[in-house]
Amino acid sequence: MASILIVDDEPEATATLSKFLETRGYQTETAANGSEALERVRAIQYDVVMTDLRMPGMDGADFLARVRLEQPELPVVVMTGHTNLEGQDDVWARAGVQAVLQKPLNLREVSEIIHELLV
Amino acid sequence: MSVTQHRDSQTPNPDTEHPYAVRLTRAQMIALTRQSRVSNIVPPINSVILGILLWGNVPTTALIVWVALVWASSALRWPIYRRFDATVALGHGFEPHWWKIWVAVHFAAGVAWGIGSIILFTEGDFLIQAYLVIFVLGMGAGATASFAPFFPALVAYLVPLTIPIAAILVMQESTESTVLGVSGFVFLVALVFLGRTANRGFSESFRLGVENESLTRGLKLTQFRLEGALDSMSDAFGLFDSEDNLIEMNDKFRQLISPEGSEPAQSMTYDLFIRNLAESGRIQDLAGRAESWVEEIAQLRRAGNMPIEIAMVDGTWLLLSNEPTDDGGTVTTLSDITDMKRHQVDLSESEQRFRDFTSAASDWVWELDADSRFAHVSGRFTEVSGRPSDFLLGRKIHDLPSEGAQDEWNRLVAAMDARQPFRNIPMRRPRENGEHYHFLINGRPIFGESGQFLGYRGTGTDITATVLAEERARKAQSRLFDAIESIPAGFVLFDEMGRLTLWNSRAPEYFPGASSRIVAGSTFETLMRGSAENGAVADISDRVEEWIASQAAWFENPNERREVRFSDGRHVQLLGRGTTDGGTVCVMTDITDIRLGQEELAEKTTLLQATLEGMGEGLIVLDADLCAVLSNTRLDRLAVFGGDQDLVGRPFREILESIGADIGQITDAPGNLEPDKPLDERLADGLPFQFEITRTGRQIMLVRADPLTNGGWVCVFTDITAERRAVAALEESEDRYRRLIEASPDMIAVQAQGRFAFVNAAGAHLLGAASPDELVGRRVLDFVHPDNHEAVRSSKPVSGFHNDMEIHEFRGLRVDGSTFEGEATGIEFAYQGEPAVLVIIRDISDRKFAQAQLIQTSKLALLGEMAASMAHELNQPLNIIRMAADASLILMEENKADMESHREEFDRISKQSERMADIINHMRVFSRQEDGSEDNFNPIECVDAAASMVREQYRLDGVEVRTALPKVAPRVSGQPIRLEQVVLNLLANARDAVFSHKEMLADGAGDRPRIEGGLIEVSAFVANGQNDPGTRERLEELVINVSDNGGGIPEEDLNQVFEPFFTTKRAGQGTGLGLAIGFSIISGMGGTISVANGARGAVFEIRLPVAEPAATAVPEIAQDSAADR
Repeated sequence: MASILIVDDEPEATATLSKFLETRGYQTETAANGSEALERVRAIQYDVVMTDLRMPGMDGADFLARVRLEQPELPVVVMTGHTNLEGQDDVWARAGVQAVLQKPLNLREVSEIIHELLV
Repeated sequence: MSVTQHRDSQTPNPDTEHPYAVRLTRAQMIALTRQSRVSNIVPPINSVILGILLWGNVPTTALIVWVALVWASSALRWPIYRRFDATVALGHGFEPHWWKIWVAVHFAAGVAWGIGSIILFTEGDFLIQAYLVIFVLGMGAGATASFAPFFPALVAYLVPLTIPIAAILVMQESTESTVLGVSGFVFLVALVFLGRTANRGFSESFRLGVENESLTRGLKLTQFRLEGALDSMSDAFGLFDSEDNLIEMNDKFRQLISPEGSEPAQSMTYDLFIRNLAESGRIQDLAGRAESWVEEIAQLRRAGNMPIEIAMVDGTWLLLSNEPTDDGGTVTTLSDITDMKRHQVDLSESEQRFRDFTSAASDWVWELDADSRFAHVSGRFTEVSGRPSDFLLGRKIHDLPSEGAQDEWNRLVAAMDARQPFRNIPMRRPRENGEHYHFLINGRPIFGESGQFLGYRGTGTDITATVLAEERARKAQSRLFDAIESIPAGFVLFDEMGRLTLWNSRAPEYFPGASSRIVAGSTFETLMRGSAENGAVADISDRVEEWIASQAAWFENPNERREVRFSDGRHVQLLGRGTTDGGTVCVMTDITDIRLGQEELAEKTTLLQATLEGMGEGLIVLDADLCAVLSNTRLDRLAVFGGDQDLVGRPFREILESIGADIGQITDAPGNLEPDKPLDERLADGLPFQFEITRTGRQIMLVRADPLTNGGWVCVFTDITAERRAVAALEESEDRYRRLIEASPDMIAVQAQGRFAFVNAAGAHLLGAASPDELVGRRVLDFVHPDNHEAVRSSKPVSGFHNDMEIHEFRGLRVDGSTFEGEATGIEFAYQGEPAVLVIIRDISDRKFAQAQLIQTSKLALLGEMAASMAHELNQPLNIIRMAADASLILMEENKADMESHREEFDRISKQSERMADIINHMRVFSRQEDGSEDNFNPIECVDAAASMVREQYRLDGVEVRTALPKVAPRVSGQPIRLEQVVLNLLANARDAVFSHKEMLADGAGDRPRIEGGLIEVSAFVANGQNDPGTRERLEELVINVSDNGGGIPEEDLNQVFEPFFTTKRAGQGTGLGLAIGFSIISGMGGTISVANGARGAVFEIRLPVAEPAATAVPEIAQDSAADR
């Protein structure tokens, strides 16, 4: 069973997403910020990490950079409220981000992308 | 005569030229010329004789040449003699070069003869040789005789003459020749010495001769002069020698001796002269007794040369007088004493007349018979009384009227009755013409031999003249007394012995303390001593004796006026004069008033002078002729006339010119009605005027001229150079400021008594007037919006310029009624001597509009900036809502949904919607449209709202926003949204500061900024502010602090952060307007905003005046840890 780490400072958001993904048959864990997430990643081998970008403490970008250095193969999905993401695919690709999801999240899209990543 | 003159004027100067020339006196030269001319003939003759003798014995040619030489040398001497004649005759000395020529010529002659000796020398013929030597020696002797006076010539001649011959002879082998040569040489040498001796003798003898000659001539001249003098005498003068022979006489004497002019006989003796005179018939009354007269004269002469007066027939008188001379001769003079004799005769005639007169005034004689009847009266009675001589005869004396002299008459009659003699009884009786004649009558009784009374006999002495004179004198004396009494002065008269003899009644006043001594016989010194010792004289207490001595000394020679000051304050002037009879008169005048007047005058003059000197202005007083009569030293101190020139008496025009002022440069002072009128005409007008003079561009003097009643002027010189310069500088300064004011874009106006006194062009433009003139005089309040009238009235102008001048914003009205926004500053100042206010008004309508625009723009910018974070903020709940909705939908589609799950998701959606509503509510507060109205509001709510608005967003950025706000707050006046805007801006700045501080710290490590621990603290509290200047109440202020830990602002930027467009942020991050707008907003609310650096970062402080205090006491500030929410 694939495990997914959800990183977001908004507890309601992680709770909602985690509950949905579990209904899809994934095992999920949550982290409130980048540093917390980094500790989990170092402890457990996740199949997918879903992270927000803007968080207090270590933010998503920082966390991404660290994860790329330590586990370059770990699939990361970015969830962001930023609206100006068009035309920046190559930037995300260089950062090793497999997919960028626009908040508010479309859960059908989320489950499709997670499914694709884990196939 | 001429010799004497030349001798006097041209005596050879002993110092000139050659000593020999000097020693060669005139006498020597005379001797030379006299002798040499003769001796000069000898050599040529000798040479001819010698030539004839030697013809055939010597070579003929040589002989002829020699003779020629001798003639030539002699011929050469002639012009020299002639020269001597010329110079000696003129009395000149021997001219120096001529003595050289003289010697040279004789040397030539000597050489000629010496050569001749050689030529003529015949060897072996001893006779010829001897003849030659003897001849030559003879020549030498002749030369010695003739040249001796001039020794150099002699030597020059003899040496060449002698030496050749002597040498030739000595060289002969013959003994005779040698002897001949040697003896000849010796002889010639001896001749030289002889010549020298002779030279001395000649010199002396001739000098004496010539001097005798000149002495004789001098004597003759003296005699000649004497004769001339004698001839010019008015007296006849004759000199007889001891033998009584006439040796000298003058023309007058000569005429006496021989009136026809014939020369008198040489042997004229004194007796003969007298006899001639007697027999000449010219002496009066001498006919027939001439012999005896001559004898008489001789006797008189023997008796001691008594002068004799001789009357001449022509009426003249001569005085014959003889004076013996030292050498036994006699000087006889006959002086014309006719005039003297005539006077003598006149005098004796006068004496005779006098004698006649005195005899005529003598007494007359009278006789009375026994019956007391006049028996005889001498003729003089008639002359005196004018009565016929028989007037009294037969009349009894007792019957005669007494004629007013009753006492005397009674005395006379009583004496007569008593048969007593009487003497000198004065009588007076009338003449027929009514006048009285006065006489003294003496008489004594005559008794017969038997003792019987025969009558009286006596004399009368006419004393009419004396009595009349006495009467006149008495009258004169009486008049004198009257005069003395009538004068207001004291008068004292002392006789020649210095005794007081006469004084007037006022005299005692002038000898205070000594009036008892004013008695006849007192001396002046006594009187003065009386006054002095009684202390009546002022200021002499310590020198009484000295003063008395001084007065006494004055009295001896009282020609000067003397002044005495008495202790009673009187000044008395003493005027003394010696009288003709040796007495002394003193007149004493009280001059107290004069002295007091003088003292007063002197005092006033001193005061006036001091006033004049004390004047700050130069002063000169001119008389009617425009000449200076008075000036003060200030005139000099004004450096006008260059020191100590005495101006008095100098013409005004000259004085002006001496100032260095060109009269042409005299310009009128301002205010003269006729500006171009010349100075002279003005002075002629006699009206006050003033003018200016410029001293060569240095000094400007204002001269005020005021006429005096006597036609003079008073001119006051004032140095107005500095004033003029000041005025010029002031005008320049004024002009500068006027330009400044005119060029000012702001309205500058002067308000006096509520009206415009001045408005500049910008002011006219601002108020919509065509020109400033249109505004001057109009009410100021007419141009102020009615809403602001009260504010304008109550505003007080400041008294001077300050850095932080109070600026009042107000709404103004233009001429056409439209409004404008303005700000005004007022300064008190004096305008044309009146208190006024200088008002500077700036049109801020545009600025106000721009400012409003800017605030709005800034707010929009802030909104835009916040929109992004708002979007994120809204995105979070939206995200949750969507996910919740999506999850439920998906589960429903898959039919896996249960109610519990749905309920959970809906609940989530509901909560998140509520959260979104909260966010949007805040947004609404911030973005609500500003209506511009001001109101009292709760500032704490604004601050809390602003902090809340950004807190979540900043938390995400790693910056905590902490607030510490009071629960109950006072209210402030203004627009809440604007305060919120300012606080939001401060928060944004604080966050940026924290960011940039973190970035700066992180830059060193090359890491991305790790924003952790960012902290913004917002607090508010109520504090006491400044006293209200009006009510003096302490005002409350609300203080809002916004601080961060961003590291602070560089110190050098602290005072610039409120400047527009100042920013420390990177380009594009900030507009640079945020704080400037904040400053403007807070100022607009009457508050202040300031910044300082705290321990960790910048601290911004907003102080707002409290408009409405909190309902209850402000509680302790509650720590609201909102960040934990």
